[in-house]
Order: sequence, then structure tokens, then C-alpha cells
Amino acid sequence: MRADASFAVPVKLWALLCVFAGVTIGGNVLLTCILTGGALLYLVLQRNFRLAASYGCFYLLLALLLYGIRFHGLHMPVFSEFYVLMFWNLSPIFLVSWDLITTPPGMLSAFLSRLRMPTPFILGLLVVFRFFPTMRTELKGVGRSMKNRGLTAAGQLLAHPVQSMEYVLVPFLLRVLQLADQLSVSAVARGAERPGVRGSYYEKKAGTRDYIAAAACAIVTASYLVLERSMA
Amino acid sequence: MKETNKWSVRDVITTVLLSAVLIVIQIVVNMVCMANDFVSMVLSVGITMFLCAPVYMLMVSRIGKRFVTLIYMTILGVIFLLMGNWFLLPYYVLVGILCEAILWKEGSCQKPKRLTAAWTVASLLYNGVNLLPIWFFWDTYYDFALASGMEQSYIDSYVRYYTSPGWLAFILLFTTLMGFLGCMVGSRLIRRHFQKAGVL
Amino acid sequence: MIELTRASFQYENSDRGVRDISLSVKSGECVVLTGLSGCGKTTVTRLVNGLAPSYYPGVFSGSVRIDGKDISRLSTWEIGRLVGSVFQDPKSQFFSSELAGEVAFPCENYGLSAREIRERTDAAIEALKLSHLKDRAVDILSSGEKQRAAIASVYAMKPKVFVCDEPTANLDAAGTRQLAQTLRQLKEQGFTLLIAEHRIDWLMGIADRFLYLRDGRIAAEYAPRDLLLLPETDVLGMGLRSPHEGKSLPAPSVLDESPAVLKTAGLSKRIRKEVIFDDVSLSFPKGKVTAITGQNGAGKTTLAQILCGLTKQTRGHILIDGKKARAAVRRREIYYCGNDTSTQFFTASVAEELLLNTELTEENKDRARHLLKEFGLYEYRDAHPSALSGGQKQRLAIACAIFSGRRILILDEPTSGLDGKNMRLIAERLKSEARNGRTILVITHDRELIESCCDRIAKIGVKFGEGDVA
Repeated sequence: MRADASFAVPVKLWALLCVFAGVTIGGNVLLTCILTGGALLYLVLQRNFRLAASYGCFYLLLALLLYGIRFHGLHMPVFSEFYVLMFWNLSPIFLVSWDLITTPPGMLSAFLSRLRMPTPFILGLLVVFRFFPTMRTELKGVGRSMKNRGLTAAGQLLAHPVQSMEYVLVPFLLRVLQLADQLSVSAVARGAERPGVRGSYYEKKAGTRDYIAAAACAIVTASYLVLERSMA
Repeated sequence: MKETNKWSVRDVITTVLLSAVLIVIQIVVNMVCMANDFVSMVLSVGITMFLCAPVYMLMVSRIGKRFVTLIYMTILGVIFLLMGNWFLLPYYVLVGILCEAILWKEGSCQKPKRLTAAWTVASLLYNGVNLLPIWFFWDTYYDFALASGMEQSYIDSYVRYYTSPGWLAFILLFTTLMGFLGCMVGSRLIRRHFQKAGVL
Repeated sequence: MIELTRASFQYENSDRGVRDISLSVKSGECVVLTGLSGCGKTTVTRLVNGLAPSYYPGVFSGSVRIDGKDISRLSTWEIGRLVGSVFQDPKSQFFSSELAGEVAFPCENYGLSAREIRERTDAAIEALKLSHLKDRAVDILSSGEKQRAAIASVYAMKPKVFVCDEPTANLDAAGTRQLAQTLRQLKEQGFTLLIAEHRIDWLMGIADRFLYLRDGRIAAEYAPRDLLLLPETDVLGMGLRSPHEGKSLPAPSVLDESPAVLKTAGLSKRIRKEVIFDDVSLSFPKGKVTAITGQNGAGKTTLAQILCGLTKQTRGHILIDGKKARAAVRRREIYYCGNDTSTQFFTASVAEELLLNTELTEENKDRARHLLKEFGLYEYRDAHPSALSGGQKQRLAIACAIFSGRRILILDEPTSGLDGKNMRLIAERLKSEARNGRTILVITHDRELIESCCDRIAKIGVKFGEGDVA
């Protein structure tokens, strides 16, 4: 299971801080590939192979484009050179952030309740993670109903764009409000309004592996900075 | 729901879900627009503001308490922080505080005019989402571009929309107007649907 | 255990509510509240779990005592430890994506120690026979398993009373059977149960008493035996669902049919690598109502959406009047009325909804007026569709299907939230539409509906077959 391979939340925050420090202090854009490499390794160690592989491919594509721009005067008609460079530069932050927000919610909420965060705050966080797949299903549902009622003909969409926006937004937003209500009733009936510190099911203490990971983050960042300075 | 200023579980969940909707709309519009410089630099913020306006108005009037806008803007800032643009967090918190000031008077959450004012101002300031990253990243890009042998005029042309006063005025006017129009649609939807459906 | 004395409640800005409810439920007893939609049975459950008036605002008078405590003096979380609540739609009340995390949710809220949370969670999962699903994502559980997970989460709080508000509204037949078993087990363990339900047949053998509510008051009380002896005309008159547990459905058998309007040939659907169904060949004759039944997860809804041109099939084709019909053609000929009404309405009033995308001729308006009157929606014609109750929304969705000019109608679980009176109304109307030459397909596991209006049954599952209702 991914939860077992996942680093403790403080380690993840520390890793994020490290890449931030690296990217903002360091001035050599191209060398940030060291940080990105570190970040990809960091994902692999947490067995997040899918993200590591797919982002790895994207990163290679960026590398090719950058090579073209830098040495062969490639000018791109779409997606400007500016963005290519910026994505390249921010890649390590994307990866570490993405890993942080996809931490199993149970672990995140356990971390927050250790910090004595109020229950509603934690509920807000828990709700977001379950919401994205739901949002997709509901939007699909709206789309299907529109098709069924004959509201998606190209003529209709082009001739009445605001009307079409209404057809999408109104049922969707009403559904979101209804979901919010059902979730809150279910939470309130199960003690969510109780003041005081929230408990947690996951009780994972940081282990040796976590300390090593934290140290490794610091070392990778530091070595990037040293290398970057020596080249400047 | 008792009419107090304390935030209930329902308020928190509603704010979080609708903020998530708003943020998803923005990210999708941004991603799609990135393909073309003109669309992304000139039009994207306007389109976003237009699409988000009804959702924003619904969110604030549904909850009807202070600090909804501030919380939303903070969440948005944190998302941008996680995407590497840390400077957008303090910036959006400031925008949020400004909107809260506009909505400070008791009961303004139910007044479409006040909400329109707040969102229109927010629309004007939202241009920061494009301007600030360029501002912060420009030197790095400039060095890289020079090293790659691009010509000065080519590099400068990338920011022509933000350096020529005419374009800049157009962009600011366009986004503000789109935000305002979005609010008009939003007020209509609120009157026609949400009030009638009894969710406000 | 539960003691309501002259309890009245009226929702804010509404004339709905309950009046003068006096009710006493002994410890370990199981009491069922039933009656027409909007009779106030849900409100009574809300009085008992304290959500009215603390969550739903309104005017309350009288007293509600649970285990000797006046709950108006308690806060929602204190009531939550006495009374556990199970709601209609389990899938929209989960906070965690994993079963264990979801079951632990209330214990976490109560700030128990990690060890105790683990113990209680494990015990609850064990007790509800969910151990084999412990690390599963809640989204892929079946509807019955989801409802059991919701009950497990309440069970972990160790309340004395379980309150269930239409717990079967979103369950299929298998899920309902599982739920019946679970509730029987809870009763054996000495929990007090209060259940609000339309469908009462599955509660025979569990319930000790049935209370019939009308217009917010308790109108009658029955022992299960009396309810079974009630003459059929009385059951119909009260608008109740049949209390008799049915025999199993007639087995489908293949028969020669009049020429088919709609036919499928070797239809298959795969999602990624999973086979949803394979090589389905069915035919639906003109002027008949065909019931489509089958286990949950057999792909009935997917099949319907493919027929209507809303989803693509992996292989095979669909013929209308013997000719291959593309998705766009099918969308013009076939109307799909989904079970989930929450994303089906687009306009600002019931009347507009019906007339959406049709010409506003006097004739059409007249037709709409008649249909609304027949379905008991005429007085709500100016109301916003989302302000209607669940049963009214379902009726409006069916009305939209009938009003559409399409010759073939597919209805997906059209009666899941309807009381007996409205179920019969729909059945009658479907029969008369079929007599007028329309072809109707109904996906359903509602035995009463099948018996009262369907001519044929097609069963979707591992093996396919079709046949007539005996």
C-alpha cells in the first residue's frame, strides 16, 4: 500500500522547503535538473511510480525543447519559450507539492490534529480530496442530461453561449450545494461539532527512513547550491 | 442555520467545495490558454473572471458571513504557492482583504451590487496572476534568451502586451469589464435560480 | 428508550413539519415510520437525532427524551453518542476514501485515543462483516456495502439508538437484503431501531410496530401481523407499498415476438480491461413495456446509456426499425430518464422544464398542463425544480420523458423513491403510453412495478434472456 511507503508529513514539508530554497536562491536555471532528479527519486522511494514515470516523460520533452531553443534557435508558435523555461525551473516544486497534496488524507489529518488544528479545518481538507472525482462524475452527468435533452447541438451552443453556460452551471452548482449539505449533516450527526482536539486512526511516528530522507533532501539542495555557486 | 457570525461545519464545507470549483475553472482556463501568447496574456484572465463570477457570488451569498472572500483568496494563493509562485500568496491575501473591506458593511453579502463591486475590483487585480510571475522570472528568462542567441527585439516582443500602454490599458479594461459582465450574469442566475430554489 | 411527548416541529419558511407526536419506544424495540412522501416521517427521525432543530432551523415544542435525557439540553455531539444516524444516500456522506478511515471518522471527531479508535473501528468492521473490504476504496463498494460501511461508522460510536432515514432509497435488491440482515443483527444485539421507510415488505420479521403518518400526525399503528392482514383496498387507499414479501420474479423465457422496434446485435462494453457485458442481443417490440432486471453491476445503466446514444459501445450495433442507427439518430428517437435526478433539470420552473426545447404552441402547453395535473405537479408549476421533494423530482423526470416526442423511452429505476400511490400512478401511465404505440424499457428491481405494468422481462447478467411476465 502507498501509505506504508509514504514519508511522514513533516518530512514532506521539509522537502518542499528545501526545493523552494534551492529554486529561489539558486540562479542557474538549467542546473535545477539536479533538484528535479532528486524529486523524481523521492517519488520512486515512496513508490509513486506512476507520477514519476509520467512526469519524467514530460520533463524529457521539456529538456528536448530547451535544447532546441538554446542551441538551434527553435521558435515555437504555440506554448512560448518563456513557459518552457519556467516549467523546467519549477518542476522540482511541482513534484514535491503534488506528492504532498496526494498524501493519504488519513495521514494528513492525523498530522493536523497533532498540531491541534480545529476539527472544521480538518474536515475542509478531507472533503476536498473526495470532491474532485465526484465533481467529474457530476459534470459528466450534467453533460449526459444535456445531450439527452438535445441541448448540446453545435448551433445551440454557439448561438446561445450564455444560455449554455447557465445549463451547465445551474444544475452543477445546485448539486454541489446539495452535496455540501449532505456531507455536513453526516458530519454533524457524527460529532463534528465537538470542540477540542481531534483524534486520529493513523498513528505513524517518524522512523529512521524518514530522518534519512529529510537529511537527503537537505544534502541534494545544498550540493545543488554549491555547484551552482562554483559555476557562477 | 442560526444567524450568527460563527462558522458552522456547513459553512466550512460549502466554502471549500465552491472554492475548489473556482480554482479548477481557473486552472483549466489557464492551461488551455497557455498555448497562445495573445490569448494567455490578454484574454485568459478576463475569461476566468467571467466564468468564475456566478460561482463566487453564489458562494458569498450562500454563506453570508464575513471572510468568505479572504478564505477563498488564501486557498487560491496556497495553490499557487504549491505550484512554485510563492509571491502570489501574499498578493492574493491582500486582494482578499481589499474585497472584505468592500463587503464589510453588515448584510452586503446579500446585495448583488456590493458583490459586483468586490468582484470587479478583484478582476482588475487578478492580472497579477500573469504579471507577477513574469516580473519575478524575467531576469532569469532574459539571460537564458540572450545566451540562446535570441534577438533583443524578439525577446522584448514577448512582453509587448505588458509594456505598451495601449495594450496594458486594454487588458485592464477588458478583465474588469469581463468580471463585471460575469457578475451581471451571476446576479441574474441568483435571482432566476438560486433564490427561487431556496438555497440562499 | 425514546420518549416523544407532544412533540411538534415546523421548518423555518415552510408549512411542512409534524404536529403532536407522542411516541414511546422501548429499549431493543424496532419501530417503523411509514406513510406517503411528505407525511413527516423523516422529520420525526430528525427530532430523535436532534438535527431538528439544531441543524434544520424551525419552531419546536414538546419534549424528546432519549434514555431519560432531555435532548434539547444536549449539543449535537452529545446526542451523537446516544443516537446514531443512517441516511439515504451513503455515497455522498463519506469523508474518507478508505473504509477503515471512514469507519474511524466519528471516533476521531470525539478525540478518542489512537488505540481506542483502532479497537472500535476494527470491532465495527468485524461486526458488520466488512473485514474483507477493509483496505478498499469506498467508491468501488456496491451500494449495499456502502450503506453497511455507513452503519459500521455509526456502530463504532456505540450509540444506544439507530435512526435510519429511508435507508434503502439508493439500494438495489441485493443491498436491501443485506441491510435487512444487518438490522436484524443489530436488533438481536439489543439496539433500539427507528426506521422511516416507504418500502415495508423487507422489514417484516424485524419491525415490532409500524406507525402510519399522515399530514404530520401519527394516524394509525399496526403490528406486523395486522398489516399483513389488511385488505388490499386499504393498502391502496393509504398509498402504501405492499407489505407482502414477493415471490421471486418469473424466470425469463425466449418467445417469438412481433417485429422489434429496437434491437441490439452482439453489443459489448468494456471499460479499460473490465468486461461490463459481452455479446448482448436483445429485441424490444413495439407497444410493450419491458423490464430490464439483473444484479447490480451487471451494466444495466451502462446498457441503457449506450442504447440512448449517450455512451459508446465497444462492439456491436443497435438497430431501430431494422436499420443500424448511429448515436446521433438514437438520441433523437430514444429518451433516457436517469435515476439520479440531481443533474437532470435545467430551467427555473417545473412548467419550463417540461417545455424545454419544444415549440410553445397552445397544443403543447395544453398537453403539459394535463400531464402536470395527472402527476400531481400542477400546483408546483412555477416552483424551481430543485425545490421539489425527492419523489416530486422523480415524477417530473418521468413526465419530461413522456412529454418528449420520442417513441422509445428508457427509464432507470423510476420508482426508487416513490410511495405506493405514486408508484401505481407511474405504472398506469406507462401502460397507457405503451398502448398508444410507444416502446418502453424500465430498468428496475421493483417487483410491484414489474407486476403492475411490465409485459416482458429481460434479465441482464452472466446469462441473458428475455420473456413475458406470467
